[in-house]
Amino acid sequence: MRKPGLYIPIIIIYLSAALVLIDFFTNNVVEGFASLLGLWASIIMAFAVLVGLGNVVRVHFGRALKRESGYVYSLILLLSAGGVLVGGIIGRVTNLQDDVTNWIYQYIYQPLSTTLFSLLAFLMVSAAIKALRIGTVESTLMLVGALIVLLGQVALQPFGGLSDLAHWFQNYPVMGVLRGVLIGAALGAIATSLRYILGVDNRYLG
Amino acid sequence: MADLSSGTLISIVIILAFVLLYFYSWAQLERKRAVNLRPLPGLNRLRLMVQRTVETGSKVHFSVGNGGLEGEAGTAETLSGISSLSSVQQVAARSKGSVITTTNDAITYLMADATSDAEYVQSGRLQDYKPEQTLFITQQQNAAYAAGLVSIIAEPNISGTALIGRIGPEYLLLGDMANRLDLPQVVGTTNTQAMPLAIASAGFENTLLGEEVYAAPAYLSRKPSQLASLQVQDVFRILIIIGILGGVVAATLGFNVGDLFLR
Repeated sequence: MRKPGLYIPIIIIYLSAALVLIDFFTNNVVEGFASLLGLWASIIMAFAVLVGLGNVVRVHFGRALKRESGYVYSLILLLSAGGVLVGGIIGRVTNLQDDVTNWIYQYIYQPLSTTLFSLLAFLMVSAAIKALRIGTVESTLMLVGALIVLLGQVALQPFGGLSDLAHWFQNYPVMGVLRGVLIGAALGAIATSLRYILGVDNRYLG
Repeated sequence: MADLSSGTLISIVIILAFVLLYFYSWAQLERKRAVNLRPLPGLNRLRLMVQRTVETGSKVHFSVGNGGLEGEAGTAETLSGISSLSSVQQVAARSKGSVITTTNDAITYLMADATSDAEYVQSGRLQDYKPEQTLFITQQQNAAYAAGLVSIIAEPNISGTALIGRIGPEYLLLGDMANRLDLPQVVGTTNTQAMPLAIASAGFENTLLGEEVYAAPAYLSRKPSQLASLQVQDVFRILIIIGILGGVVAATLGFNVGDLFLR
């Protein structure tokens, strides 16, 4: 423990964690405590977003003022953020409610997001070629496995025989490895969560 | 009153055993610090990347992933990312290096900022930490966050990028840009869809898979409190292996033990 002031937040962490665990494992002892804390977290989140927005404005306003490279994008970002904020307020003041922000989300953000994700198909091919060029045992195995599974899905006759192999590949070696990875990750998640609940990892408290 | 099923009781016993074993291992490690860890080259590379920023006057980008801390899937990965950030900022503060951190969630942003600030205070270099070193990019918008990271690592003073936390296949956007710019990259994910893409993009040696994401803080900090959790995980892993083998034998002999573990 570095500072006496840390005791209070750590005691709050202990109490909250204990009550959430009791709520999770039992019935009718501290019923609904976890949902109540979830509600409080949502309220805190709303204020935290304001602090985050302050960080965005400070960083990008500073760039625009100093005319750093790419400052035009910072200006566009600030104008966009301001535009959505004003649109949301106008919607609430008038009877439009969330119509304005929903329109922005549906017709501007969503298409942009989909376009960005559609690039992934091309980037996957690019990454696969790069992996093939490296020529390590792991990357070669990965590519051979990917090719077998890919060709096994093709309905054309020459690759029909690969279908069984692809299914065997997915049902046994891949499934076994995935379960191993998931069990290891679950143990890691338990250990990490317990370190935070026990207040051992408390650097964020200052 | 409390109505505990056999599954619940087993869960409580497992958690209590985990906690007791953790404190025991921690106490043991405080006495004897030498621990043999299998090498994770990606984390050594991350440490070097941060230390070299002082020579080149550049910055390393560190992301704690796109996860939040509101209890949804990926919270533990984000917490592991925060713990790794703590160790990375400690290296940066001590070696006078520079790290720029990005987040995709407001609470994660506050936590990352407080963690980085605390490491600089601890190293007596509070004046060198600027709030602009921790950036809030978006609030849980994965596509926008990935686009934001791409533009950040494209800045001329970035000499490497690392991501330890929750990330999906959109990592390829970041990885592709890092490859185009010839930037060293280290990535850690537990997402099985993102794993092969991360390996293809960053290379096998620079990718942390599954449990390695949770082991990263221990490798980076070498603190007994972190190493102890690795030891406990190993003990439980061995018990699980024994349990699986025992289950296979029991099922072969016609005994159904699976129902014991159902909640």
